[in-house]
Amino acid sequence: MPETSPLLAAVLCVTPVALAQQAPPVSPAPAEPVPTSQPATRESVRPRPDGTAPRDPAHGVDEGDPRIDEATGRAVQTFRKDRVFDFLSQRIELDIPDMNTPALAGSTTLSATPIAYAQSEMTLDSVGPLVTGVRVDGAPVRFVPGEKTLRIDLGKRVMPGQMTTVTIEYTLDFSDAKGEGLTWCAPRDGADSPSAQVPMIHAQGEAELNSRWFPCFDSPEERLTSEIIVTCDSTYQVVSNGTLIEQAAASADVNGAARTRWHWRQAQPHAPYLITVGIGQWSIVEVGGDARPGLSMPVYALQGQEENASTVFASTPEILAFFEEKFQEPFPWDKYAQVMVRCFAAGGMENTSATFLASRVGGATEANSRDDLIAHEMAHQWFGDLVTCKGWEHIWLNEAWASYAEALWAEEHARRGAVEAGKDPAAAARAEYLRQIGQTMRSMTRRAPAEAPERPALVSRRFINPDAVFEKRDNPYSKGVVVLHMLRERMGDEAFFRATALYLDRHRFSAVETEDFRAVFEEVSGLSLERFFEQWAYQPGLARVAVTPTVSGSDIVIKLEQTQRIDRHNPAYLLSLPVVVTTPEGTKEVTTVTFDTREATMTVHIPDGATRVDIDPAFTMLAHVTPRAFDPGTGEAFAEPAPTRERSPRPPTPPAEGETR
Amino acid sequence: MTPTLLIALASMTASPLLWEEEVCCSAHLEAASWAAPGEALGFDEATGRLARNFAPDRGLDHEHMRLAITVPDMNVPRATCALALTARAIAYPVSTTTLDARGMKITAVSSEGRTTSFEHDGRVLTVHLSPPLPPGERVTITVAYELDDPARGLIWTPESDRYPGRPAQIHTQGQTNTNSFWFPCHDSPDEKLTTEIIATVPAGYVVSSNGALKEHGNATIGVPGPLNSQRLQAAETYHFTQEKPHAPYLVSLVVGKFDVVDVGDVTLSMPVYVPPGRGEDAKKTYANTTAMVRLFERRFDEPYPWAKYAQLVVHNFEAGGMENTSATTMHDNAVISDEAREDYDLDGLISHELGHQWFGDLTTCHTWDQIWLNEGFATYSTDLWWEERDGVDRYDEQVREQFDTVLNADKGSAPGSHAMISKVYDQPWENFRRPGNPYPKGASILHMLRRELGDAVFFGGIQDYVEQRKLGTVQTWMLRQALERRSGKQLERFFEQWTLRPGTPTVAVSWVYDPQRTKLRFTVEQKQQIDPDNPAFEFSLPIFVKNSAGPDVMIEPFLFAKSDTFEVELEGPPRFVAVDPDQHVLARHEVAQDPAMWLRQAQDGPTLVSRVIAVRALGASNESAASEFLRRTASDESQKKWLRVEAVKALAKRGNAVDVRGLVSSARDRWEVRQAVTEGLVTLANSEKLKDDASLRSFVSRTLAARAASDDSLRVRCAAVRGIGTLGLTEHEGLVREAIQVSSQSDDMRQAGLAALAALKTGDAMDVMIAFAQEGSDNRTRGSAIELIGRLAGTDADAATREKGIKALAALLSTRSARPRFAAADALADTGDPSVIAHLQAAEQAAQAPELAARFRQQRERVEKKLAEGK
Repeated sequence: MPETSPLLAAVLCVTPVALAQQAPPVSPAPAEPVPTSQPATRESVRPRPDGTAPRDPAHGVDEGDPRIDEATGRAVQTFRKDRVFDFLSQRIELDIPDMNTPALAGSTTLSATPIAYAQSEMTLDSVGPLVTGVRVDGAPVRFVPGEKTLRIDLGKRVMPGQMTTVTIEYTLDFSDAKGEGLTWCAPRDGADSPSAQVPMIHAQGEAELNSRWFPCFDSPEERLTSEIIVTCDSTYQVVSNGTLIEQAAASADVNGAARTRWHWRQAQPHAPYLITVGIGQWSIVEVGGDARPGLSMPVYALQGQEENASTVFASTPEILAFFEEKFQEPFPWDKYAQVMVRCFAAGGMENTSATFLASRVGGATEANSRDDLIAHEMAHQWFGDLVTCKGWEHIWLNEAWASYAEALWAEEHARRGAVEAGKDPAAAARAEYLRQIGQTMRSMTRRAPAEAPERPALVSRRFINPDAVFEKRDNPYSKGVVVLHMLRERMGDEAFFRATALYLDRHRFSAVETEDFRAVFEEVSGLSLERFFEQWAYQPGLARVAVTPTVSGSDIVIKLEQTQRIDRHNPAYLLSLPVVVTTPEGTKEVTTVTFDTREATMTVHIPDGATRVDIDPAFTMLAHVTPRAFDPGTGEAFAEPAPTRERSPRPPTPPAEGETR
Repeated sequence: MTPTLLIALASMTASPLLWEEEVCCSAHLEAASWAAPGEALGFDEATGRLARNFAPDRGLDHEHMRLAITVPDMNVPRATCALALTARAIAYPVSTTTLDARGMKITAVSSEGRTTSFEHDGRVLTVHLSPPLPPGERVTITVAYELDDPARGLIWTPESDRYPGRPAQIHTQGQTNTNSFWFPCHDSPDEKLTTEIIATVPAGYVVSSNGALKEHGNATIGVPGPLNSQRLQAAETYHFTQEKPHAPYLVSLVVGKFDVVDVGDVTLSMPVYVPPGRGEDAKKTYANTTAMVRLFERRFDEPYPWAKYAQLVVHNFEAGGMENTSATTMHDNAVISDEAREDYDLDGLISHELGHQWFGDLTTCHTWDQIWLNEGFATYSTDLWWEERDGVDRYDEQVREQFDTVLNADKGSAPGSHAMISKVYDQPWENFRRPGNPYPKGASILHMLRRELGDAVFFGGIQDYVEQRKLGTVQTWMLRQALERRSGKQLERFFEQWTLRPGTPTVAVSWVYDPQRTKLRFTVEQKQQIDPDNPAFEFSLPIFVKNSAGPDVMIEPFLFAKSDTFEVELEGPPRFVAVDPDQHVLARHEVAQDPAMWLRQAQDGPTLVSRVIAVRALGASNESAASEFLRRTASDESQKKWLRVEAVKALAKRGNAVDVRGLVSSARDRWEVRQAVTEGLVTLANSEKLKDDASLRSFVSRTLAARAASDDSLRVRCAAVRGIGTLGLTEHEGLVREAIQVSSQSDDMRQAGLAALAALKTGDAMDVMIAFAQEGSDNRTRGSAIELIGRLAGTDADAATREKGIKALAALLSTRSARPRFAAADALADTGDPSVIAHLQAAEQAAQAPELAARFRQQRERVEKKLAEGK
C-alpha cells in the first residue's frame, strides 16, 4: 500500500457492484488492499447460458480464440496469489472418534508474520472445514467463513517481522470427498486383504486441495514446517510427513475402544499441498538397505502383500542412491515411505517423505516392474518437494523432471544390466534411454498437437482450475520430458547434470519459476537458451518435418519442410536436425541442418555403399520427422527407425498423463 | 556423450543462422520495422519466420582486456593498438572463437601456448586455437591492429580552421555496439570483464578512461620523418584500470585538452573535464554531483561502485550523455555560463548519467530489449533528485510529464505495435526509440511500483535487486522477483501489461448520484482497443470524492473489465471527483465532470496534480467563472510555479486575451511564468479566433520585441524571438537577425533566430541556413539549420530554393560529424522530393557500417513511402 500517499487517511468502504464476489470486510477495512488482493481471475470465465461449467482454458478450444472473456475483455488466466503473510509452521490435530464415520474434529495452529505490511486481518483458504472458533495469540477473535476462504480479524495490528499464532478449531465431514482433500475409503467385505476390510483414510493435497481438510494458505509458493497429530482407534496406523516423534495412548473412543495419539513432524519447510496423512491398517515392510544405508524406507503394504512389496519395491534404495549421485544432492527428508492407498484417485502422489501409491501397485509381482512409478515419485522428492513450482503454470518443473527421472533410471538400469551380462554398458544405456524418449515422442506425435491461440503452451497461466494444467495437451509430463531431453542433447551430459545439480543446490527449499531454471542452465553452459524456451515452453505444439530426398549422383538433395500449422501465433521453429549417413564401414557421418523457416534444402554427399540416412535419430528436436530414415541409393523411406534393442521385457508404460503425480 | 551440435560450438557464433542479431536484420527489415494492419511485427508470412533477437551463445567468458593504444598525431586519425584478452572456456572445449572487430586492420593474432590462426572479414575476427582450450581453462589472446579513421565508435575531432583554437580531440561511444569499431570484443551487453587501457598520446594531451589512473608518465612515439626515417616525439602514457567487471559497450577513451576541476569530496574524486577556460563554470554547473551521489547511495543502499566519477564534455557528441563506467561523456554544451545560470539547469542530465552508474553499469541489461532496466532507472533517478532538491511537487510534475509523454505516444496495440520490451528489431538502437519508450515509460513503471508497494517496500525491493544483481546482467524478471520477495505481492500481471504489451489504457469515468439511496454510482470504462491480443488492463484506480455533506471519500476499485460499475455511500452530491489524484496508474482519463466541478477541483483538489489536471480541463472549457481563478492563480506568487504556468496555458488556450495581456505586467516574478505568458501571447495571436485582432497583434508584437531585446532570462528572450517568427512579425526582422549573431548558452539564441528567420521566409533565409549548417557552427545549431533547410526546401518552395537546399543537404551527407550528417538525411527525407532518393542511396552505399546504412535506408524508405502514398 502506498504509505506515501497523503490520501490514505480517507480510505472508506466501497460497495462493489461488479465485484460482488468479494466478501465484505470483517471489520472497518484496514489498509490491506481488500479489492486488489483478490485473485478474482477464476471468476472471469462465466457459466455458459445453459448453466454448465465452461471448459477450463487449460484445455483450450477446438476453434476460435479463447484468450479473453468476451463479455469483460479480461484475459483468462490465473496469477499466483499475493502473499500477505509468511507462514512458518502449521500444526494440524485431528481427532477421529470413529473410523467408520468420515468425520473429525480438527484444530490447526499457524505461526505467521506479515511480509511487508502491517496487517489486522488474515485470509486463509478453507473449503469444507466448519470453523467453530479462532484464537489469535490465545485470545478469541472474530472470523468470517466464506465459500472458499476464512477471514480472520486479528484483533490487533501485527507488524512485519512480528510473529502471530492463529489457532482454528473446526469440524469436518468428509463423507463426500472423493480423491480431493481427505478421502474415506469404505471397507470392502470379503476383500482379499484384511487392510481392505477396514476403512482407510488418506489425503490428497495437489493441486490446491489440502485446504479442504485444514484451513491454510494453499499456495505452492508458501513453505512451512508442519506437524500432524492424529488420535484414532489404536488398531490403525497413521503415516505422515517427516518423523514420528510420539505415539501414545489416548482417551478411548465413543465405543470404549482404545485410541492412540500419533504425532508426526516435518521439520524442514515444504509446500502446503505436500502435507499428508494416511490412516489404515498396513503391514510395514522395510525395504531400505545396503544400497543406501542410513535411511528408513518403509513400504506400507496391504496386509497379505508383504512379499509383493518386498519384491516390487526392492529397487527403492538403489534408485534413491542413484538419484543422489545424479543430482549431487542428498535425499532431503527424514525417511522415505511408500504407502499403498485404497480408493486413490491417481497413480501416485509425492507427499514429502511419504509417497502415496494406488494400492494396486503393491500387488505387482515382478521385480523392477513398477520402477517407473517408483522412480517418478521418488524424483519428486527433489523436483517438486525440495524445489517446488512457484505457480501451477510452472508444474512442468515438477512433473517433467519426475517423468524424465524414469528415463534416467531406465538408462542406468540398462547400464547395470549390460555390465552383468558382459555387454557394452554405454551402448545399452543409450539405447534404452532413447527407446524411452522415442516412445514419449511417438505418443505425442500421434495426438493432435496443441496450437496457439486455441490451446495454451506448456508454461502458461491460461487455466482456472490448477488440476486442469496437469492434463492439458501441451503436456507438462510428456512434452516436459522431451524438453529436458532436448536440453541434455544440446548441452551434453557433463554440463546438463552440472546445471541440474546447481539448480537444485541454488533453489533448495524454495519455489521456482521457469526463468530460474533457464538462468542456471545458461550460466553453466554459456548457451543462450531464451529462444529454446520461447519456442518449446512458451509456444505450444511441436514441429512436423516432411523429408523429401532426391538422389543426384553421389549427392542427395534433401528438402525439409515444416508442415505443422505456421502463422503469427505459431511461427516456424528453429530446428537443428542432424543428418546421419551410415557408411559401409558402419561409421556415421553427421551433417547438421539448421533452419527457422518453413523450408530448407541441404545437399549431403553420399559415400559409395552407404547403407542408410537417418534424420535426427537421437530425437534432439521435438519434431515428428517423416521419414526418419531412408535408403541413400533410392531415396526410399525405411518404414521404422532401426530397432535399437530387443523389446523390453516389461510392458511399455506410456507417459501417464494425469495419472501419476 | 558430446552431442553433435556441440562439437561445433565454437564455430556456432560464426554461423549466421545462430547469430540472431545478424539473421533477423538484413533479410527482414521491413517486417521488423513496421507491420501492415493486422499483421504481427517481425512475422514473415512467406517463410513462416518470426524475426527476433536473442543473446548470442558464449563459448568463452571474457575476463580481462588490456588494450594499449598509441596515437602518434592527434590530427591524423590513425592509431596502433595491441589487445590482450584473457578468457576462460565456459563449458565446452573451444577450438574456434569469434570477436566483433569492425573495420580495423588486424596485423597479428597470437596466444600463449597454442597455435593460433585467424581470419578477419572486416566484421568478425575468427580465431582458431590448437589444441582446443579445455573447459574452465584460460587463454590470453593478443591482437595487434591498426585503426584508420573508424566509421563509428571512436569519434575523432581534429583541429580545424573552422573552429579556431579548438584542440584536437578523441572520444569514444560504445552504446549500443560500436566499441568493436576500435577494439575487438564480444560486443554484446551480456558480457562483463575488467579492463585496462594504456594510451600513449602526444605530450600535452590529457587522457581519461574507466577506473583508476594507475600510472602516468612520459614516453616517446616514433613518427615518420623525412626519407623513411623515424623521429621520436615526446609523448605521455596514461594507464587506467577498471578493476570491477563491466560491459564492453561501457569502455571509454577520451583524449584532449581540458580544464579539469574536481567537484568531489575526500571520499570520491569527481573530476569534470571541460573545454579550456570553462573550469569555473564547470564547478558551478556540476556542483550538485556530490549530493546526488549521496542521495543515490542512500536510496539504492549501495555505495557508488567505481573508483572515481569523471564527467567529460566532448565535441561532436551524438546524444546527450553517455554513462561510461566512472567516466561519463557529455555533449558540447553541457557547461553553463554565468549569464544562463538562473534559467539553465544541467542537474537533469547529470543525475541521469549518474543514476546509470548503478543502473546500466553496475547492473546491465542482458539484451537490448531489456534497455528500460538501464534507461527507465536512469530517468527515474532524475525524478528522485528533483524530489530531493526541490521537493515532492517537482517530483510529481516530472512524473506527470513522463506520463503525458507516454500517453501521447504509446497508443498502439498488439500485434502491430511494439511493446516497450520487444525482441523484434532491426538495429539495437531501435529499442531506445519505441513509442512505448523505455525512458519515460520505464520511469513511469517504477513510479507506479512505488505507489503500488509504498516507499519502504519499493526501495527495499530495489535495494535487494541491486544487491543480488550487482556486477551482473539483468532481465526484467529479476527485478520482478526482487520486488515480489520483498512485498509478497505477485507482480506478473503488472509487468506483463506494462512492459510486454504495447499501449496504455484510456479510462472513462462517469457517475450518477442517487439522493434517495445516498449512493454515488460509478461507471468506469476502458476505451482503448480490447481484443484477445489486447485484453483489458487490470489495476486499482484511486478515486477521490469531495463530499458536500460529510467526510471526503477515497475509493480504490480494482478494474479488470471493459466496463465496471460500483457504488459509494455518499450523504450528498459530490462537489467534485478527482480521478487518480496521486498518479497511481499510467492511463488517459476521460472524466465526465462539468466545468463548475472542475473549477472546484482546481481550487480545492486533494493534490497539486489533481489541481493541475483540473486547470488543464478548464483550459478546454469556456466556463466564465474560471477566468478570474486562472488569472489570480497565474499572478499569485505564493502559488506553485507549476500551477501558475498551467493556469497561463489554460487562459491562452481558452482565448482569454484580456487576462493573458494582464499577466504581462502582473506575473513577472519567475522566468517560467514569463516564458509561459510569452508563449501564451503567441498562442492567442495565432489562434483561429483572434488572429485578425489587430489590437492584440500590435500588443503582442510590442511585447515580444521588448522581451526579445531585454528580458533577463535567455529562455524568455528565445521564446520571444521564436514567437516573432511564428507570428510572422516582419517588422522585427532586425531583432531576429541580431539574435542570429548572438552567442549564448547552448547557442540557443542563434537557434531561435534561425528558426524565426526561416519562419519569416526572408529572401536570404535559405542562404543563412546553409551558412550555419556548415562546419564552424555549434554542433546542435548545425542540426537545427539543417532541419530548417529541409523545411524551406519542402514542397511549397520554389524550384530554385528547393534545388539549392537539396544540394546543400546532399553535400552534408558526408560531413565528418555524425549529428549533422544524420540531420541531413532526415531533412532530405522531409523535403519529400524524388531527387533525394538517389542521394540517400549513395550515402547508404558509402556507409561503412550497417547501422549507418540503416539510418540512410530508413530515410529513403520514408520518402518512397510518402511518394507512393502521394500517388
